[in-house]
Amino acid sequence: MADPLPFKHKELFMNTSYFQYKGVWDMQDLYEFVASFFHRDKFKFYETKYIVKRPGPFGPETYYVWEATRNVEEYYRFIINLFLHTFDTQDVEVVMRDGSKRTFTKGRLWIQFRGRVELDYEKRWEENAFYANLRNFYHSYVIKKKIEGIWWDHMYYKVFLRLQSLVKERLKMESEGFEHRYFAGVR
Amino acid sequence: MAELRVVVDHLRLNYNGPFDANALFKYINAFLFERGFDLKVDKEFEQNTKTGKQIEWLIMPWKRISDYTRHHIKIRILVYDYNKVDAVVDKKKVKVGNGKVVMYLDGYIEYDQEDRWESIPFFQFLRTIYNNFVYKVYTERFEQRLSYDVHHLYDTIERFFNMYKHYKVVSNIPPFASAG
Repeated sequence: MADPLPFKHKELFMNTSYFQYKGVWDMQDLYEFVASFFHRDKFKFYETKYIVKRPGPFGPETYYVWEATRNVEEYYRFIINLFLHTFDTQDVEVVMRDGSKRTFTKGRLWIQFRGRVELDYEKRWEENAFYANLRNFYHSYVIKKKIEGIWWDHMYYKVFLRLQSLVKERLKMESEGFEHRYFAGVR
Repeated sequence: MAELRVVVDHLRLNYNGPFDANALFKYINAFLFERGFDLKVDKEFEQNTKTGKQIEWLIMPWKRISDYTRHHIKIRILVYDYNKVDAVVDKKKVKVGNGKVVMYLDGYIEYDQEDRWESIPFFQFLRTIYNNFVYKVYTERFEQRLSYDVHHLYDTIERFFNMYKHYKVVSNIPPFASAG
C-alpha cells in the first residue's frame, strides 16, 4: 500500500565513521572540547545517555551518547550523534610539563560519528497527502541541487569532518589534520 | 543497489623504514583534494602498543563523473610498530617516525548511482546492455580514467616514501659509518 504521506529526502545522512584509540587521554578535556565546539557552532548539545556498566576484569566500561542539533533555518536542521564507548579504563596520574599533576584516563576508546540533515523538521507539509506530494515535488525538482550541493556539503565539510579532525587533534592521533579543513572558508 | 564494478583490485604497497605518518596522510588527502575527490572516512584507528603505534586508516573517497557514474577509491593503510626515532639527514639530526606500512588500493566504478534503472529486472537488463554495448566507449573510458587515477596515486605514494631514502635512522647506522 502506498504511503499516504510520502517523503522524499526526509533525512540526508553523512557517512558514518569510526575512531578507535588505545592509550592515554583526558576524558574531561575531550568532553568539554566537544561541548564547546558545538556551542561555538550554535548547536544545542545534549548528553542523552551516560551508562556505567559493571566493571570487567580489565576495568570499567562506559557509554556516552551525545546528540547535537542545530535548527539552521526553518526548513532544515543539522543533527550529529556521537557514541563514545570507553572500556578497559583506569585513571592514571600524569605530571605535566610545568610539574602539576593531573588525572587522565588510560584504556580504549571507540567513537562513532553519525550525522544527518533533516528537512521539514516541523512537519508543516504533512497536514494532508496533497501537501506531502507537493513537498516531494519541491525536493525532487526545485531545491534538489541546494539540498545535495549546499546543505549536505555545509554539514559534511564544515561541521562533520571538521569535528572529526579536531577530535583527532585533541587525542593527538597521527592522522590529525585534513585537507578540507579550510576549503570552505577559515573560521 | 547500483552496479559496482571493480576496476583496480587490491594494489598493494609495502614499506619498512623511516617516514612521517601524519605527512603521509596529509599527502594522500592533498592528492585527492586536488583531483576533486570528496572525502569519506570510514576508520581511524590508533593503538599504542608496546612495540609502537598501530594505525589503521580506511578512507573511500568518491568523485562524480556524470549523473550516472561515480568513481570510488578505497585506501586502506595499516601501520605497525610506528615509533619516533632519531635520524640523520644532511648531517643534521632530526626526529622522524619509523615503522612498517602495508597499503591496499582498490578502484571501484559505480554505475546508475541514483538507482534509476533498478526498479524492475527488465530495466536492469537494459542497463547492462547499455553499459556493455551501446555506451561501451564511454564505459571503457571511465574505467581507464579511474585506473589511471589509482595508479597515479600509487606512484605518488611510492615517490613520497622515496623521499625518506636519505634519512638514516641513528639506531640502524653501523658505528663505523660516517654520519650523513
